[in-house]
Amino acid sequence: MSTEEEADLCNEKRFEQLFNTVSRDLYRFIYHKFGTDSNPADLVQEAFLKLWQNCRKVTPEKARSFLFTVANNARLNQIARDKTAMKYAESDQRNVEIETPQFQMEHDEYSLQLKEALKSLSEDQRVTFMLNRVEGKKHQEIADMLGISRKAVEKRIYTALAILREKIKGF
Amino acid sequence: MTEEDYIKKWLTDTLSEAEKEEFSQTEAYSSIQRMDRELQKFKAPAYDETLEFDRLRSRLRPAGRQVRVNWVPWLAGAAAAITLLVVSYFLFLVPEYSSYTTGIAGKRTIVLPDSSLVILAAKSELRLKEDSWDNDRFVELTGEALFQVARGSDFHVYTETGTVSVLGTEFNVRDRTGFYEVICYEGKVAVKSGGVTESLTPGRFFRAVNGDITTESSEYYNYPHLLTNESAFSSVPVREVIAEFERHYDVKVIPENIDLTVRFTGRFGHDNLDLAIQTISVPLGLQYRIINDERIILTGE
Repeated sequence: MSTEEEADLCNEKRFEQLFNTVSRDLYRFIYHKFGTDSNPADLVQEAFLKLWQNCRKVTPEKARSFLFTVANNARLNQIARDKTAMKYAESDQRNVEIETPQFQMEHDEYSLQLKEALKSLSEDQRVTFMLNRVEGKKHQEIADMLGISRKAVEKRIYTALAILREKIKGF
Repeated sequence: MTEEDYIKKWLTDTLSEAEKEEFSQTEAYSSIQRMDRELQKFKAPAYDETLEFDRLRSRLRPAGRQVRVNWVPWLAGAAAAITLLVVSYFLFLVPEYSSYTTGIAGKRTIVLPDSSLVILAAKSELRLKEDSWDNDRFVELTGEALFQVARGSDFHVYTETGTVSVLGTEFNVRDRTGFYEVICYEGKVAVKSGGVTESLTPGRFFRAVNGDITTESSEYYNYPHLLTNESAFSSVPVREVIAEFERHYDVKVIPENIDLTVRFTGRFGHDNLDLAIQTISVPLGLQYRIINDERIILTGE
């Protein structure tokens, strides 16, 4: 009856609701895994479009993992793997107090070093680590996104942190 | 507890108050704090769901109109049955093709229903039936594409000149006027064209030039050129190389005093016209003159 129909993802309202709850996470996932060159917003669109075309076959419970799987498989889209490196995000300098040139320089050097270190992480390590430390996702949430255990998430975060600390030791 | 234990516990928020206090005094803690602060610069750019959904909405229409059966109780049953009949007629008897195209210098990635991937090269078209995809995996291709096929049932690529059948693998198909070529990068690929059936293993390719069929291997075809924004050729007639160049740079190449059947081996990139035309002309001992944005003259001796 009607209740069942509303639960169906082919219902546009239901679909929009899903988009509003999942798309931002998916976007961040793609961004941290593949970088800006992957056009994360477009890949999100493609993944949802794919879901829409399969809305009768994919149950609402499976929708989330379906979306992440589709987006993840789109890695071929990454033309060359080394382009995966994330674009260096310009920080908002307006809120920063005036610093001495020496400090400023060290700071920039540190940023660069950190950026290089992030590039050296595997895609899986980086996406897990960044979703937690930067986007504030809980371990369990990340585990659900990636379809791995919470223990595995914790292990990846620790490993990533250890690698980063090792690479920026001098600072 | 070692430093490692502290960090692990801190990450999972399982330190006791006393341990927390102790950890916060350490060098490790302050360096992690600094890193965390710095990492905020790498936050994903802002994302607007409402805006993005509006962008998506326009593309949702076709699927939304599919089977909309209203299960109003029995009086409407008959009407529903008729609706169903009509719907299934359209679903099963009239092929519902989705079509993807690229123009000159174009390139796009298409994710198929089973998450197989297709990269469509410039000036090409790919058609498929998404509705019956689960039972029958096939696409129709005009032009060139790279396929990375997810494991599953037989997967067919039909072009005017031949048919490629695989189970799950990576391969490239080009079908341009008078030139048909299938390159296998991974797995096993069966090609059927002009009454000939060939089985390809990685590194080997099948080619039909005006009906002339060869199967060989070439080091120029050891990785998918579409992934690196290049066009690769292993002893291909210059005629086809020029046509391919025109498809990527939207220019007309006018050959003068050139034997167009001479074979060319090499690659050219898709992002630098000067470099690309040199890559073609130098090995063949040809001269080129760029007349304007639209015309290049290529001359022999």
